Amino acid sequence: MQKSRIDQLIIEQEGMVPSSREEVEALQLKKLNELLEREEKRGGFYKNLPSSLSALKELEDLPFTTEEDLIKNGNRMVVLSQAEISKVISEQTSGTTGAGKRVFYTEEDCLHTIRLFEAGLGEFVFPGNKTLICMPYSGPFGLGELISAAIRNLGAEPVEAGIGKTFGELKEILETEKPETFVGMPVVLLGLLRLYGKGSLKRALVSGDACPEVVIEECERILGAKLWPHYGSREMGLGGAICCPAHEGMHLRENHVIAEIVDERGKRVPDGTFGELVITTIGMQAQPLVRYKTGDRTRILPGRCPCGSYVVRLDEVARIGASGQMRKLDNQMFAIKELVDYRVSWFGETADLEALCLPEADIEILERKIRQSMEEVAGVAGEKLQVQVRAAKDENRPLYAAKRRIQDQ
Amino acid sequence: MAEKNYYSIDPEGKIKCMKCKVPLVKSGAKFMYLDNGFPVEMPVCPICGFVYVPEELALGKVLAVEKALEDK
Repeated sequence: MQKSRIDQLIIEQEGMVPSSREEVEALQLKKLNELLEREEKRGGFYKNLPSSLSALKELEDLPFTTEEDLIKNGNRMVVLSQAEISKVISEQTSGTTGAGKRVFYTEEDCLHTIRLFEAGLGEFVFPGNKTLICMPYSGPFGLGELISAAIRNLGAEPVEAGIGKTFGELKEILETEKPETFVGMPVVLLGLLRLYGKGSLKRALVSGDACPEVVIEECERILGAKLWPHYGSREMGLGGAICCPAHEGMHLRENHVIAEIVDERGKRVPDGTFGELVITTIGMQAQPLVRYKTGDRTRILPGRCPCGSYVVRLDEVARIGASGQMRKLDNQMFAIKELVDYRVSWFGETADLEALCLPEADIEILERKIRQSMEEVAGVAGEKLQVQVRAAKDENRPLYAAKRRIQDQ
Repeated sequence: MAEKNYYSIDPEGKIKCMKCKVPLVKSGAKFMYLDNGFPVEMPVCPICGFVYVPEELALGKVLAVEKALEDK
């Protein structure tokens, strides 16, 4: 079995071979100390941290950086001139007036992301392939644009569908372009596979949203191949961890990110134990973060990967908190094989559920199954649950353009 | 056709360049952000070219435009 391509990436970027845990961690410590020293000299946001650690374990003694810190002090965490910033991702955070998290990137940060995407995609995208990309295109260094650049670098052709297309438009693209590979969100892929079958598609990378187990299983069953999940967050440059031929977890790009898993008390837990992912982004040029609490729940898979790489692997990742219910609901609902997509909104104690199903589905039976799932998972039934099921038509779109969440109206 | 100015401030002789010791004058300038350019008229030093941006403008409209241009 070939080793994860993350190893080759580290060799190229760092000039060292990650041939043991000790070597990987020594590299991380070196880069962390460079960051701490720079911050002390700059008088930056992290100036009060020690300017040097003698062991990586001492990272556990440093304070966390929270999302609120990033919202309030994100500008102060930028270590370069604004003139060197090539991309910014900003969002509104509910509950705050006007304030939102802003994450800054240099051109080099974006190029590093393209290389990481290449490493992940290169496992299953080959020269001459066409790759259907259902991710947002938003301008220079947008996510879709970065993926397209990676695909081109691999000698393959990106088919830039973006987000917001109808099922009919996507079907036409599939029939015209006949892509072998797909990159996009898991439920969008499942909807296409259930509606139109695998067609020319042979392999797929899913990212951009949590991937419930049933959705993975169903996609793999119809595709006849294992999926290639990917994990990334804005704070680590969108690209974070890639799957390898062993398909056991996702290898983290450890020359850019130090990962810790902590429990509710903030104490580090051993490998194999689930907890919150905390990241120190030693490779980010514009806005490196120290011990940033991601709000994502995962674990570090213990031991060495069967592919032979010593680089740590993350298990599946899910958002902590309310979206746990979305995941449970997704697993229950997508076990219904006629379901193409659904969306839930809460109005106080009443839930409104809209579902799209296969044209040949029995809508009455489907509605019963949906009601049963909602009662079991969300505890809502009878008149408190409004359900509308209709057959998916070509003019319909996937019901979520972005991350799936139960909407509170 | 004259280029549209997105914002215009006339210092009216009330703001002086600390370095050159002369009043700033209303002059053309350009706000650039992530490959987007916005022509404006700002108080500018006629000698060294220093452009004065009031704090309330920087933290108000300029910040709002930055966020509108940024990826979401």
